[in-house]
Amino acid sequence: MRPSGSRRVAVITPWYPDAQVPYKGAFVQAKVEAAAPGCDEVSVYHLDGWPVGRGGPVPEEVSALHERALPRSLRAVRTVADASLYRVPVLVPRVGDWAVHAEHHARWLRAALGGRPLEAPVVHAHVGVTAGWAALENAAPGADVFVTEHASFLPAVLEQPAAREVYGEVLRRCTRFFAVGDPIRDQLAELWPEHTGKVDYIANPISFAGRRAEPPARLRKWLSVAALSERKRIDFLIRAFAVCRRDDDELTLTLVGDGALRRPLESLAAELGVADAVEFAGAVDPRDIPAVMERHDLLVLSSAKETFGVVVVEALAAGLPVIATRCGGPERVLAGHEDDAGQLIDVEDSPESLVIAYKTLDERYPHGLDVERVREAMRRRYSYEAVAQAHHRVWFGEGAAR
Amino acid sequence: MRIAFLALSTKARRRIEVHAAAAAADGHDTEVYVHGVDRWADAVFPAEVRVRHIAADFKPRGEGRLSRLFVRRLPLGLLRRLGRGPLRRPCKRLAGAWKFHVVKKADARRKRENARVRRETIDAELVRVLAEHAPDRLVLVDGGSTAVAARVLPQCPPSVRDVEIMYGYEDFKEPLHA
Repeated sequence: MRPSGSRRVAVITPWYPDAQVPYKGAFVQAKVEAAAPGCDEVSVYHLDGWPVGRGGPVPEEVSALHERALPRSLRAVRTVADASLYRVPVLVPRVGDWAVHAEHHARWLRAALGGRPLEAPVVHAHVGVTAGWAALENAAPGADVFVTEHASFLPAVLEQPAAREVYGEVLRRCTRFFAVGDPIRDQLAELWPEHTGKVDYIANPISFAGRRAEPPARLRKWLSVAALSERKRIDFLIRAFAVCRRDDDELTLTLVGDGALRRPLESLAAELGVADAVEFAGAVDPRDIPAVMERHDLLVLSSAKETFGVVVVEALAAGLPVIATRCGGPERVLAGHEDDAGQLIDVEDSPESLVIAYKTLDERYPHGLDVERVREAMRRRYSYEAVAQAHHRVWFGEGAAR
Repeated sequence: MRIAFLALSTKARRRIEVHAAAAAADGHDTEVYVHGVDRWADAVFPAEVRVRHIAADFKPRGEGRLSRLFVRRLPLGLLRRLGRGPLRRPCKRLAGAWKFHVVKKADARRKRENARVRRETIDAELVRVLAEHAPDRLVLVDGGSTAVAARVLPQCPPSVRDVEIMYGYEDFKEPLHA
């Protein structure tokens, strides 16, 4: 039996934007913004991991202070769509054991709630092993607990036997489970085939509010929106860009995102003689991404692995064609629209395929593409309204969308 | 209301800047306790926020003259002089072993001792400034500051010991009451 107040929702998440990292968990915030209208009340519990110590357990006196202070300090902060946000610092030991992290997330959420269960009849957690476990351990009896997995570090979690056990429990006990892409769903299906029927797909919302006034005349201003990390393979992108620029010196490349590889990538651009054409724009607030997209002609995603590939949809929402690797997310997102949206290429150990993809796309552009048709299809699936309706159906049952 | 941010490290610097500015803008008497003058040199706080550098004068102890002579210079210098011709390799190996077993350990011991003294200096000064400022709210900003508070608060006068703890200062739905 569900607790009363059927349109009250608690969102449990380890990531949510704050002053320190304004874009961390921006997609969770976007989901709240999309789905909160139409609910009676949405409370977001941001379980923020605070590492303590040098590898051993959290010292007893530190836990005691936190235990005493946490329930008294819990205070609602204003966030999007009039939802209430509660910051819950989760003291965690500096260890790589995800089962230990799961227990600490559950423990400190319980402490913050003063030992009482979450009041909402619907609980939606993001990231199975941490917030998912905390949600299940703190939900009221009879509450429906939904879990969405986004974590690209899931393989590392599932490698640990204790964490795998926790994860199996999360899958078993939750009402429904959502994966944001096929790679996550495949991993879970392989380990827990008995729960395959419970694992579904739910989209992150994308803003379709802004777009380019006119379609790009030529595909000259390339854009990448990705962290400067190994997985994103920005070095391949810069190499391919340098080759293409030999034929057209008006090409430019903007790299939005930051990361540990910034220096080596700047050196690579200089070494290839394209430093003046490559702009390292750094991290950009997610809310400003649509405006950045509108100033460019083509989005290039060169990743080796993506659970979803949100930037592909953002680019199409802004009216940009895309070149993307079949790295897990984009091929699912663009299934049936590959040629209309741009070019999809396999993940290969050479920038050559990117070069060929660009040349092929440049030759057939603007004919042979129908970005407008793809945009409309994406809008039906990923707009705030569509994602809100999908969530309301899941949370409150078929026909419950307001 | 008097609000003190126990910041010390710069790990959550941006958050501390924003939250302290918000507290001051709401009219609270706001102090931020930091450690490491250079590390905090670029921090931006409005004029109403008082920044207190805790243990600003602390200087880690360097290697003593005797230790430098007997642990480093004499033995390693001797091995360098001896290490010529056929003795080059064994002396080089011995010098490596000496550095690993003796020099490195002495350095680690000194580092541990410096860390202990630094911690005690910080704690003592925090006890003093907390007693002086007597905050109504103490804002903890990360795991490190929670650990420091757990160590320092029991040493404070009773009026400060039970100070109300917060974990940030944001746009709260309900106003903060004294």
